[in-house]
Amino acid sequence: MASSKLAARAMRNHAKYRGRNDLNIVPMIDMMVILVFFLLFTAVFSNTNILELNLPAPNSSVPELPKGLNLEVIVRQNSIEIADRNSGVLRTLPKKEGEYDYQGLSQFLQFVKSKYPDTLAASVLLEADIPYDVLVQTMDNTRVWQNDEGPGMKLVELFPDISVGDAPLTGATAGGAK
Amino acid sequence: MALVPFIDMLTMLVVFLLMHSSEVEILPNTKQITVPQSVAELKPRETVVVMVTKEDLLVNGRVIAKVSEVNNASAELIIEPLRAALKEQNDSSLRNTAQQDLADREVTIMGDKGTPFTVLKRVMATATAADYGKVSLAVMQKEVEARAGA
Repeated sequence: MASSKLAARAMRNHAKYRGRNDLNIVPMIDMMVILVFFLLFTAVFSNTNILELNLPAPNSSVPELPKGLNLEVIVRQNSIEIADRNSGVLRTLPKKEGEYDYQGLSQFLQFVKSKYPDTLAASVLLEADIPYDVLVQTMDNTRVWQNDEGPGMKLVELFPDISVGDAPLTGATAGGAK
Repeated sequence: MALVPFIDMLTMLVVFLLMHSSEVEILPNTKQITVPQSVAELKPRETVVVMVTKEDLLVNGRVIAKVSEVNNASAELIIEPLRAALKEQNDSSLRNTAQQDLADREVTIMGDKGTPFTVLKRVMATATAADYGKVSLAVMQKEVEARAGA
């Protein structure tokens, strides 16, 4: 019985499509539209990346201070200070029109890098109420600088090994310059 | 038939979107927080995610504590509920090797732009106290060209 039913359906379909010699593409368009919408909704248009931090393990003792430069970038409420732990503040960059002077920071760090090309580590020290955004921007400017000369943009490495910490109280640099 | 150009366009759209969706989204995407922009180029890895919104502290999407409580100056450095939650994540979801090797355990912090450093410091201290060896900060990719004009 089943076979005769199938045969009847085949006959019906044959009658229906008689004289049509193009493909039935409507189901394909349906699938395409569904796919387009699905992919549109799952598409990611903003790329999230990560910044790695250099944090000490909880059980490690305070490491010996290495000789030479111990660069510190101290972000305060009104200024950014660049300091060396051994010799004290190298440069203070006050806020310009309510914005931190990232350009000045970048330029001075390039100068420091040219003096100490082997140093990779730096500490970013922040006061308590500094927003997260400032931390990230400061880290960006400490890690790399952007070389605009020549063809294309180049990111040149400055001090990519960044530790984060609390800023020392005003007037006293950590390590006791005072 | 007039449908042919339409199908051509659809095919191109599908291929274009397929190519763009090949990048897998690892970090959760929310409207509640604005992640700061950075020129960092490191791709996110599969880690435990601590999210700091304006109000709440979340671990892998679960609310753990209120930011206002954490931001209290008199509060402890270690956030105890967060530590417990991180420990729990450690036991359940991490890879086998990571359970043995401390340096392989990673946590990614997604913070809102305006999160004060006090909160961030406490979250980082808690992550270290919960035996996580690596802490990363999630950032939004910035167009390099846009930075040149600034």
